[in-house]
Parts: sequence; structure tokens; C-alpha cells
Amino acid sequence: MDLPGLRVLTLVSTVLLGIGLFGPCMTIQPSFGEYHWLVEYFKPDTAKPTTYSIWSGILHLFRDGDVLVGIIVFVFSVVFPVWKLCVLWAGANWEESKPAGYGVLKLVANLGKVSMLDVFVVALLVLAIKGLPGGTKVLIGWGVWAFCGSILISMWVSMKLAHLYGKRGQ
Amino acid sequence: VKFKTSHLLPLLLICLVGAIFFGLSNWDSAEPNNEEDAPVAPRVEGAKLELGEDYYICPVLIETNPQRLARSWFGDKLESKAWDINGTAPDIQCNLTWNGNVVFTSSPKADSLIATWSPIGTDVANLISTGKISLDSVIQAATIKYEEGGSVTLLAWDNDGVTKEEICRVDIPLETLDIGENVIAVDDLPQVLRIVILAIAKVQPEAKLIQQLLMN
Repeated sequence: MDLPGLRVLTLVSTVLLGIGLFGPCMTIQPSFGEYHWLVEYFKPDTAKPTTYSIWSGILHLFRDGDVLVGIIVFVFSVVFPVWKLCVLWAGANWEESKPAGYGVLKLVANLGKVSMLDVFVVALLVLAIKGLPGGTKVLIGWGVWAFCGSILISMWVSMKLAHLYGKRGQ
Repeated sequence: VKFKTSHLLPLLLICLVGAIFFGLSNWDSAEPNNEEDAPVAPRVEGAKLELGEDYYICPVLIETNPQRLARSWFGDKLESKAWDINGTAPDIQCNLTWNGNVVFTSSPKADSLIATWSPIGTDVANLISTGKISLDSVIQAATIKYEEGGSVTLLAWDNDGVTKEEICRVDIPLETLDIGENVIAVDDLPQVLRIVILAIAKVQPEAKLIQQLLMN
């Protein structure tokens, strides 16, 4: 694939990341077993389903005092993917055959392997499959698929760009 | 590496998507919740029962005189006597009869001049054996249908284990009942000071039903 194609894919990945960060990521449907109706009456807010996006989840972590976890999730789910896309966007717009930023591009391609995607997806799957006591369910929202799509596309673009500039430089 | 502001286009795009989501979620929350605002059929306290509707009816309070009325040993004259030989108050129990059938029997209230019953309660033994609890299973009331000229009969007695001495028998026309608590006239019932009957519409949102059951 040539540079214009990679530019389009980078933009697609960017939009998907935006959707993935702010779109519904998971819905927690609380259930209190046979006592659900009683909780529904006394604590209606507790019994209501709650939908979180990655962004609102991070804000909740900060609000609940889990600052360290919040920072880790923020860095790996927001800062790193956004920085990566900025580098990819720059890489897809370089005009030199082997630009000075090639090293950064290679770094991005390698760091992609340690993005939070794996941990994130596995954690969600465990929650979704195992469920929670009392019949509480975790439903995965479409935001997760957008997030996964963005990460996978950006990984592919970074590899392609690194490969392309690597070949040009030889 | 030369930095250009155009390199920040992805960041701007993501911010734009975030702003769109933020705007959409605020727009959604501004929409009225039609389900919550939907008018509910008249089930409020004080409203009359509606023909053809099902209702939960249960006695919630019976207060007896401090002494019972009994025929004297010699003659037909009624005289006041203690409820129980050992001087304890009556063990009040009651039932409701509708269309010739007993449709509800209360638990006995030992040694009480004022017996009260809650329309909601849990049968723990049943809960342990079945492991289940549902709203129907915790409502302690008769289910009746209000039909033209319908009535329920309340029979209360002193359940002392060996004999059952009638305290009162009162016919309650359903047309005289309102939703909520109803104080029944006891002028013709010499052994009773107060009777309160609860009437609640059966078909209504579960949360409202629980509220009415718990508030009364």
C-alpha cells in the first residue's frame, strides 16, 4: 500500500479511536438475584444499568481515588494511542526517502506490541464470560470494537510505514 | 525530528469525536423519559375501587375491648369477662371470606388487645426450602375482584388453642372501601373498638405496589 492509502487508514484509525474512547464500552447490568425487586425499590439507582466508555471509566477511577490505576489506563489507552497516531500521520506525510523521524516510527511499530489492547480485551472477556455474583452481567458495547479496530489498523499502518521507509533507505 | 502543527491532526480529530459524543449524550439526557412520565391509572389513596379490577384486601388492625362479653352461667344476660382464664389478652386471628370461600387467614397474634398485621412478609421456612422469593409470595392478603354488590366478610376469633371464640363477624361491602386504609364502623360490634382494612390495586407497577404495601 502506498502513502496516500496509509494516510486514509491513519485517519480511519483516528476516528475509530475517538469512537472507541468515548463510545459505550461496557454496560453493567446489576442483578441482586431473587432480591432484585427489593433493591429496585429501596435503591433504584443501584439497580439501574450503567454504561461506561473508556473515557468515563478513567474519570471514575480518578473520582474514586484510584489515581495510579487511572494514570496507567490514561497513558496506555489515551496518550499512547493518540501519540502513535500523530507519529503515523506525520510518517504518512513525510516527503524524504528516509526522514529523521524514522527511528520514532520504528519505535512506534515496536511499542504497538505492548499497547493495552491485549490486557483490555482479555479483562473484558473474563468479566463478560464469568459474570458477577447475583446474576450481574457485563455487556460489551460497540465502543470496544471501534477501539480494537483502531489499534489493529494503527499497528498495521505502523508496520507498513516502517517497512516502506526501511526499504527506501536501503 | 521536525515538529509541525499538522502532525496534531489526529489529536484534533479525536477531540472533535469526543465533543460530538459529549453533545449527543447531553442531548439524549434532555429528552423527556416518556415511560416515567406516563400517567398511571388512578391507584392513589382515597380513590374508590373500580369495577372489574383485582385488589389485595387484608386486615391490618383489630382492637378489642379489654373484656369480652359472655353469657352468664345463670340466664341469658351478657356480662363482661376476662378474655382468658389466666388473665391474658386474646390471641386474635381472623380470616376473610369472599364469594362463600375463605380467601385469607391471618396468623394469630398472641395476647393482644390490638392485633396488627403487615401486608408484606417473608416465609423464611419456604424461602430456605425453595431458595426463591417473589413479590407474590411475600404479600399477605386476599386477592379479590370488585364486582357489583360484592362484599367480604371478616371473621375474627380468639384462638386459645383449644376453642375458638368469635370476637366479631362483619360484612364489608366492597363499594364502601377506598384504596388504602379503611376504618370499618364497629358500632354494632360490642367486643371490638377498631378494625382497619387495607385495599390495594393488584395491577399496577411493581415499585408502586411495593410502596403502597410498605407505607401502610
